[in-house]
Amino acid sequence: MLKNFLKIAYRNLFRYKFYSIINILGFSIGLSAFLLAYIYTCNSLSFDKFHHKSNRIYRIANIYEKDSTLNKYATTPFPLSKSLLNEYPEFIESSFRIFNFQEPFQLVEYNNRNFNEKNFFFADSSILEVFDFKFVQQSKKESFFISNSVIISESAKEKYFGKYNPLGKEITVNEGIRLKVTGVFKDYPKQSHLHFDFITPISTLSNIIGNEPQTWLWNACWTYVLTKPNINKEKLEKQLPAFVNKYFDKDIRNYSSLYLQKLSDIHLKSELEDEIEENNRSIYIYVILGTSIFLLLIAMINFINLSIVGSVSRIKEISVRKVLGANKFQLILLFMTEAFLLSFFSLLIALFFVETSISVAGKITDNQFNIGLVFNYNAFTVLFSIIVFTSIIVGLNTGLYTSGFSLLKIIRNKTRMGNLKWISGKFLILLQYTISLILLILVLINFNQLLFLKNSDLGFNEKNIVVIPVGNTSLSENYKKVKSLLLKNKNIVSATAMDNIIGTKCFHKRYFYYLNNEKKVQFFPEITVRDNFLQTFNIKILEGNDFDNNQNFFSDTIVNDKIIINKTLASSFNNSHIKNVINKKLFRFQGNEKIAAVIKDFNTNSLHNPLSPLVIRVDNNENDAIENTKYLAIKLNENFTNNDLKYIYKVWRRFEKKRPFEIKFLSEILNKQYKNEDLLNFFLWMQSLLVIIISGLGIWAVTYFLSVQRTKEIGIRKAIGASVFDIINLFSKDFIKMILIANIFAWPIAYFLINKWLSIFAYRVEINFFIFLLAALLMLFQTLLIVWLQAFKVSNSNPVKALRDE
Amino acid sequence: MLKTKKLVKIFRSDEVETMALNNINLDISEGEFVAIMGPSGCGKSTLLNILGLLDNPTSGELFFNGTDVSYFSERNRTKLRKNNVGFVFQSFNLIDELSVYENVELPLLYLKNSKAERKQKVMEVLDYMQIAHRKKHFPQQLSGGQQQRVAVARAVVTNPKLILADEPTGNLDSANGEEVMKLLTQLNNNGTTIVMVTHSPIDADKAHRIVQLFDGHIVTESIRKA
Repeated sequence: MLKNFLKIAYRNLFRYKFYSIINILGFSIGLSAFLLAYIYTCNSLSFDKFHHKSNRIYRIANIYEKDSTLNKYATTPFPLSKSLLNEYPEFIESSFRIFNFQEPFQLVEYNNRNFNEKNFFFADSSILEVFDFKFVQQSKKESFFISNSVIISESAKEKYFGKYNPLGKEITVNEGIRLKVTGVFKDYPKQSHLHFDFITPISTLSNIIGNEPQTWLWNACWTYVLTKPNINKEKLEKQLPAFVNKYFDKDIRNYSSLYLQKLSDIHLKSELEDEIEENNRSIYIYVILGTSIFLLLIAMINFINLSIVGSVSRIKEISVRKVLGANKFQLILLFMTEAFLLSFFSLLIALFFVETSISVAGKITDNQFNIGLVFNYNAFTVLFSIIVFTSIIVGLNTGLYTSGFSLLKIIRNKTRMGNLKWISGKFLILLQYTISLILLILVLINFNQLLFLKNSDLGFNEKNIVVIPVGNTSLSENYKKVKSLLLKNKNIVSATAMDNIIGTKCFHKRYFYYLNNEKKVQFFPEITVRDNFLQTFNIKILEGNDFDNNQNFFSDTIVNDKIIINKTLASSFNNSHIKNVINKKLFRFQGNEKIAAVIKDFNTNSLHNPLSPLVIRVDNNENDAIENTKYLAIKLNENFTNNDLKYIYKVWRRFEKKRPFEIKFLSEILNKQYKNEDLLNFFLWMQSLLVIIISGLGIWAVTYFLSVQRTKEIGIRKAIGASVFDIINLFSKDFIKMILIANIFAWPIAYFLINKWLSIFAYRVEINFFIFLLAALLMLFQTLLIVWLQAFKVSNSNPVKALRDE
Repeated sequence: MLKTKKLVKIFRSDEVETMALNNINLDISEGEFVAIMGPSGCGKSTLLNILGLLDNPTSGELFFNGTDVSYFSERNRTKLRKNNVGFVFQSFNLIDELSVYENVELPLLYLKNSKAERKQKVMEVLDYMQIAHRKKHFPQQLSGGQQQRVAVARAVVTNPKLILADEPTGNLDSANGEEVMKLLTQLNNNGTTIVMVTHSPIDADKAHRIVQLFDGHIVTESIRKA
């Protein structure tokens, strides 16, 4: 029997090409989208799992919480690693630190090849025991990974040495430090929260900066621990409060805590300051997976509807089967077999599509996707379940529906279901509309949110400002000269420098002040700047005065004791009137600082974070100032041209002969912070486009079916006097009703989801009901366009044909 | 009221051409009751459809109240049809999803009559057809005779000048058939022009004039009553 069914099913596939094609097309689109999202999810969940000991490796995270301040850092103090290992040898098998100078990147040279290297790290040698490294080349044990040696990745080897053997060769870092290459390791896969190109022992760092820093107040490096087998994380975490109390500086120990982050959780679940590379958010992944499941559901619904629609064209065949004795169960089985065959074909097409598009998808998401993620036991189970489930539902639905046909009516040719009266169909189309609407609303709101993030008033003007990393370069040493040269260009309005790029991140510095004669110590985000900072970024002063920009800050006789704070910080000192905080003292280490001005709040970080207190400071000591002159910000006139950028390059080259020149527009840097949101947005748009295509295919097929079924009715109506418009109206009515009802279901659900969704953003767009309306209109437009085209065709056909009795 | 000159209708399908009507000249005056007879496939229904503006002739002319409507656009034909013509079909052609009341109401909807107007007209005609008690029923729940009465009610509710009936008794038993013919005769007595296609000589007997068709030609015309 099954063989007979398969044969019939196979023949019907070709016989009813229209339905087969629409069915397979719709379902394979749905499956492809789901598969890609599945691969993306698996890929995201696989981060850092390539280390053999991955489930025993943790990174130590550091929380500082005091009053309204809450800072979560991925970084920890230098002495932490060793102290932890000494303190808890029964829990910890090994631990190591990694450190880098962050931006601006290290200038690495070999044989006249110079590059700024981002992935240049200092690390303890135990990194080689804890993390997985596959060495391609390695020098002898005694010279391997010792002070002033470096191990490099394969791609770094390729970049600097090409086909030559790098072992024993010396690279130069920052034009002074010479490091001998002692090993070449395979590049880490994309699925890693960090990537190494150069690793040199921490002892090299000591050679550069003197002794290894011993302070517990500077969160300078990342600390990883490998726990002993069978030690659970909670056991170790329980010990940490006592550890903090014992080791941390007395000013912070009451407000600090440590916790362990599982290595494989870092990519999706870590939202800390000072991450090594930008991570993703698990919610984004689940939104993409969730919406793709929605999409698959829509494709399934289409499948179910289409098979009912298709079955009607086969009324004769089905009735003959019934006359010959086919029972309900056999009809169900027949349709199940057919559905299985169709969904199996769809799956093959989807796999083919995914295989061909996977590299593009990888590029878009900055990942290396692997089709292998689909060819494994788990994925097969999921896919097989989907097509079996779909086949069962389709078989049951269509089988039960057709077995309900009255034979007598079929013989008299009277079975028709002209308007959407078959219950499951109505329900499913409603469901399809509801899901599509929810998805559309989500997409539109998310897009709105992204625009909002990108176009929000940040509290400073980022337009026409270029940023150049100048840390560790001669430009920072010659800041004044550089600036005066730059200002000679009439299209350069102003220039300043800072220790971090405004709007992206800030260091937290320790401050103290007296409140009711009691000394208070607190960490505040701080930007250390050079002259004309407020002016360059057009930051508004609410009270007091700017730094005296003409003053010589490094003079021995005049002490600059001014600092500027933002309104949030001022309000925390004196809520009633910020004017009263002017001239109040706020000390740094040894300082004498007085608050000179209160400025309007601006966003020191991406808009994922709320506004925070802020201190703006100018260094009094020239060496400190040079140290903190890490980024040059140059404000250009609106009419600037490429020549002005070339001018800036020439100034750079006057001071830096070798180092590659890097220049970026501030607005670009700021927008890049929303890379994950951009990606999500892209995914959602693609999915909603697919939803429109799939549901469009479905509506097309259903209206086609209706038009065939209602030919006679339309003939009658036309004979009676219905115009083309009346007929179009007749067709649209049911669909319009359906869309209206779908809105009633979709709006509250979408509203609930959006509220949840937006709550993860510190800055969020107001929910605009116009968007709900827009989604409804889009859906209406899509449907009516299809329905009208179909109805127009029908209404223009000759009614005489329809009215013929035979 | 209706006049055809050299009316020709050819059906074309792939490679076969069938001449359904060949040179038909017919003149139907207002208030007349004309029966069209002939064997199956002689072109009776085709002629009726063209007279009722459901179909266009291939060539020749058709005048409706003196206006040449032979090649009217679909839009104009619809307009003319809904204001002037009522149809009664052999298989009733009621819409299954609509109740008796709604079926009869339909032409009035297309004429954009007000709700009150529609109600009044529908009830009047249902009373007249003695089917008002079944107004909430659906076609499937009625007997053939009742269905045809509803179909006639639907045809006359707009008070058309012309009723075209295509074998109106073909699907009815003799008692019900007689009933329907009575209705048509009554309508004709009240001034409605009726053109009826029929196989039944008894029904044709009710008409003023019988037109005999054979292979698309008019073979005889006989006047029954003065």
